[in-house]
Amino acid sequence: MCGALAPDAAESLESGGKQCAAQVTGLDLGSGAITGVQVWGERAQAHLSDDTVFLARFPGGWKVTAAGCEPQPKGPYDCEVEA
Amino acid sequence: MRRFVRDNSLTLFFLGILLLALVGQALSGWHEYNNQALVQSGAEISLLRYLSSSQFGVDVAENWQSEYLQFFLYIFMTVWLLQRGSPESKSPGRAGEESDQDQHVGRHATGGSPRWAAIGGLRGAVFARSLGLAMGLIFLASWLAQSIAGRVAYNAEQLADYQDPVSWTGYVTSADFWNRTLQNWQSEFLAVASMAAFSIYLRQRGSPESKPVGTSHEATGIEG
Repeated sequence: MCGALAPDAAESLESGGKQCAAQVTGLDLGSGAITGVQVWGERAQAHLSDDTVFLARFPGGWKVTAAGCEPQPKGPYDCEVEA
Repeated sequence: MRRFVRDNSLTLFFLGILLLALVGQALSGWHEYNNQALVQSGAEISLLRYLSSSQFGVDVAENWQSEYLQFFLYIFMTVWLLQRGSPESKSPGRAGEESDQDQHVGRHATGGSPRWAAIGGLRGAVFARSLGLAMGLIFLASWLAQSIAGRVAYNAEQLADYQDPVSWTGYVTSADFWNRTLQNWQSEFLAVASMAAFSIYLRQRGSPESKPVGTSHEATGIEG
């Protein structure tokens, strides 16, 4: 999972001496089927049956900049992981 | 070749500085884009990719549409509206499309008149307004391009900020679209108003945009 994260997103999970891989398992991230994808420029949004994730295009391919995202009545999504 | 350059130096000069300005805009816009991408935890892109991006497209189109709107309005409004004392205006009493005799159309066409000026009918009517129509059509095309490229750039920003993208109708009613549009329009309208008013009292020796230096401030429709 950590390999799919954008560098800043993976770094945001590294705290208190714990590495990304140890932290990410404790998060409530979706794993359902993809129900819709939108690509705009160098950014994308994927809706899963149980989650919404945001991505950015990197030289090595698309990386997740935010995951475990819940829409809010106003303003940005509230995400479990974000860059 | 030298004669061609001399005969067309005004157009060639402005096309030349257009290209230089576009190169400058491309390079500075590319650096600005990459700075912003890093701030928003994204990746830098190549210059070629930037040149084909909607961000570059909207930045170009939003300025083009306002310039062509300016000329479209100026060409059509100066048919009907006057500014006493300005060389940009017709003389008082000549407002309107004027007679066929004044405009050398139909049976009043001369030997050197363009063919469509002489034939009349629909083609003649279109040709008689072709300058303003061309400016108006390029304005509309550029404004449409601004809305399409602007929506892509805006939605990329929305996603970078973890917000939902918007539809085309959502974008053309958004603050971003109208802020981009109106900030360009206001500067064009100011420039035209300034040109019409300043040219009453100020002169530029040798320029057809000015009255001859010694011409009265009251003289209207006289170009140097």
